[in-house]
Amino acid sequence: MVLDVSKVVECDVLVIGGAGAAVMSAVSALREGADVCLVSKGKVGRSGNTIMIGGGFGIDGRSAYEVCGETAANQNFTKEQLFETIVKSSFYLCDQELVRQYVDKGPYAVKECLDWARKAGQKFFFIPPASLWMTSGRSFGKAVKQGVLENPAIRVFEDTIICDLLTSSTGVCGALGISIYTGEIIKFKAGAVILATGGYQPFSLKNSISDMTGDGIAMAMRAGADVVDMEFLLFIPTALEPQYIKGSILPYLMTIPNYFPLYPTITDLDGKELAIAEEYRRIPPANKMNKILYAYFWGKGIFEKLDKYGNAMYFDFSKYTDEELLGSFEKMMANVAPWHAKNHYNGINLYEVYEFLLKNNKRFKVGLGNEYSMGGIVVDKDFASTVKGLYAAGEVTGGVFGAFRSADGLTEMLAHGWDAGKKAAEYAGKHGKQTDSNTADVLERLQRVLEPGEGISPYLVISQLEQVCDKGFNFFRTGELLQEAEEGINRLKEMLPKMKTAVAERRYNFEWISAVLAENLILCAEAGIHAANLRTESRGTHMRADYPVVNNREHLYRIIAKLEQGALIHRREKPNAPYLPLPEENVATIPDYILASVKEDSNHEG
Amino acid sequence: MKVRVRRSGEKNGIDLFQVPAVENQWTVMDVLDYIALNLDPSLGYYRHSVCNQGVCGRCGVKVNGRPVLACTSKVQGEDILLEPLNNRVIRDLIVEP
Ligand SMILES: Cc1cc2nc3c(=O)[nH]c(=O)nc-3n(C[C@H](O)[C@H](O)[C@H](O)COP(=O)(O)OP(=O)(O)OC[C@H]3O[C@@H](n4cnc5c(N)ncnc54)[C@H](O)[C@@H]3O)c2cc1C
Ligand code: FES
Repeated sequence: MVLDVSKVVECDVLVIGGAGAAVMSAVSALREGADVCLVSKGKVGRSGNTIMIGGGFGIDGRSAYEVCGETAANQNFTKEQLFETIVKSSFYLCDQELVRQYVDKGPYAVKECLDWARKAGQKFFFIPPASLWMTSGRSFGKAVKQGVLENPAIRVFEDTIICDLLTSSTGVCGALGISIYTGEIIKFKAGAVILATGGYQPFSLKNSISDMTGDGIAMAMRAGADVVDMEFLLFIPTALEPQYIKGSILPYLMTIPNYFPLYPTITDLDGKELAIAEEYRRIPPANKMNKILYAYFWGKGIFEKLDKYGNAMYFDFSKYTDEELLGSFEKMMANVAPWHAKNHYNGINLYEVYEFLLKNNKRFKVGLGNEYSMGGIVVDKDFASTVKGLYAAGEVTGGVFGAFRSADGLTEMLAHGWDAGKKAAEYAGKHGKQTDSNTADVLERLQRVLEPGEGISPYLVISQLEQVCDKGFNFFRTGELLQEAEEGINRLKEMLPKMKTAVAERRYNFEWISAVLAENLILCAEAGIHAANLRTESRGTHMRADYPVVNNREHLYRIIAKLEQGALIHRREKPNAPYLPLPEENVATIPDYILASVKEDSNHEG
Repeated sequence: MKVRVRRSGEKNGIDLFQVPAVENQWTVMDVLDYIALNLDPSLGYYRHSVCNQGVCGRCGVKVNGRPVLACTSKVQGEDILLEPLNNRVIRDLIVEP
């Protein structure tokens, strides 16, 4: 059997992805007069982390009033304040121009998405004090879908995974994909390509959708693009039990009193309390910086017994009566009722979880699961990557949030798509389509996996990668563990050429697709682990047990990675900081940094 | 737990797998993932864009004749039969999207 291209599709702008960043990019490119194709691994509006959300996303209060027409918005909350908060919570690692873009364009892009939501009949409620809208993942998905329904000129290819970008001597000029259900190979020729494929998640505990295999980041690297901040991954409390809710962010929601008034005692699996030190408890529970404090204080406890118990702690409600506990569950049910089936949060029956707790000493096992990857493709303020013809939007990019995302992934994807689509269309208009030189190479890679013979299942490779990352690249890191993880990655890289599927069938052969995913995820993990090893300090979500200091004097730089002749090369760059000066003093620990920045914020407000 | 799965193509018929599933704890998706990783990687089931939380609504399968979402449906009993949702089968448990 020889693989060949079954279909060739031509367009000006090819958008890869089927969620918020992709649809906003596609609509925006279409508005510029481009002929647009959108290709998504899943279905539009039913894939991507966009449908997994807790549900909140915001902009500054004045723009909520002026641009989005929310008359109850707090107009004292300005763009300038939002800008400062994002920069500080990025631990000053962000590209401040990209933060400006987020703050300036976010409101217009959000307004467009709110219009889609309204036309799709979805509930998006504005919460004035927080200057954010609340909805559900399913509703957000339907709003995004409305974006393509209203723009039928966008040609949509669903359930099609892009396996690699096509390149010419000038830059990127298309992509090659597999239509998952038929196994057909489709070649897309385009004037410009926008990657909107989301982040990467190489761990076994997932609260993100299974799409998060870092495809876009890895494809961009293979095409020669720079990536940045790959060591920064955001972890939040995620359910381990009951098994049937594993991966849910319910435990994280239980830490927010507006959702769930009772606060659990957090212990390790031996029952030892993992308390957040008193001075840090003054940070308001809704402040997203708490996510780092949880990973720091609870993660430390988990880390100490990682070999014995793995990534697990208890959320313990035993100090409360049955009635108090039920009261909290009922409050949660009422809160989520506008979007979810009766007594449910997504597919979870909350009464069942309550009953599970009653039968199990009112405690359940929770781990720290990866929610978001701060790192990704380096883009300039036009969302152009460092390779010509290649653009990126949404979580697949790196740079807006630096070491920690305190603002919203949803606003980010919309704001990015708003400009990326426009700029990619302009580029395509000027440069036209080039002829690629690597179709045969990509086909050969895809074919090798299907050929008969002994080999390693791609499923096994991905599962081993998760074990490597669980052990050495989790929320707490040390030089020794990272070294081990690097060695693990090297062993896995040797396995890649030996991957084979059990059958040569092409129709819905997910083992075959997984060979592509394995390569992508391993490349992303390699870039992240190596950067984490180089970063001998703690910053944002990168916590080094052996280097606790936020070392602004020596480490306030971004680590950029690039593939050169098949090998990853890392280099350092000072963050782009044209507005707020970079700090020069070190801070003893991550919690101290957070405390100081929250204090400064409240001084402003006061 | 005995898990019987209706296969298509060359394997046409019912395959039997022994899976260490915990009743009322594991989901049908957990069972399928276990089979694919440990017993038979050729099994076709919905796996390419999985929310695992009952959000995307795409993992439909029949369990003992009843249509369910694989990721939210808990396994029960000592013996289960997994079949495609309808007869528009592409491969094993996969039907046309
Ligand atoms: C559990 C959870 C809760 C969250 N809660 C919030 C919240 O409350 N508020 C908030 O602002 N943010 C939240 N986030 C973050 C937010 O969801 C994401 O940052 C955002 O949705 C990313 O949007 P995106 O369009 O960039 O990527 P995604 O939504 O991840 O979409 C990626 C798309 O690309 C497609 N794709 C991937 N690879 C390929 C390929 N090779 N070929 C073709 N298509 C491909 C996928 O199928 C998908 O359609 C949460 C994230 C998680 C996991
Ligand atoms: S995988 Fe999304 S509903 Fe089951």
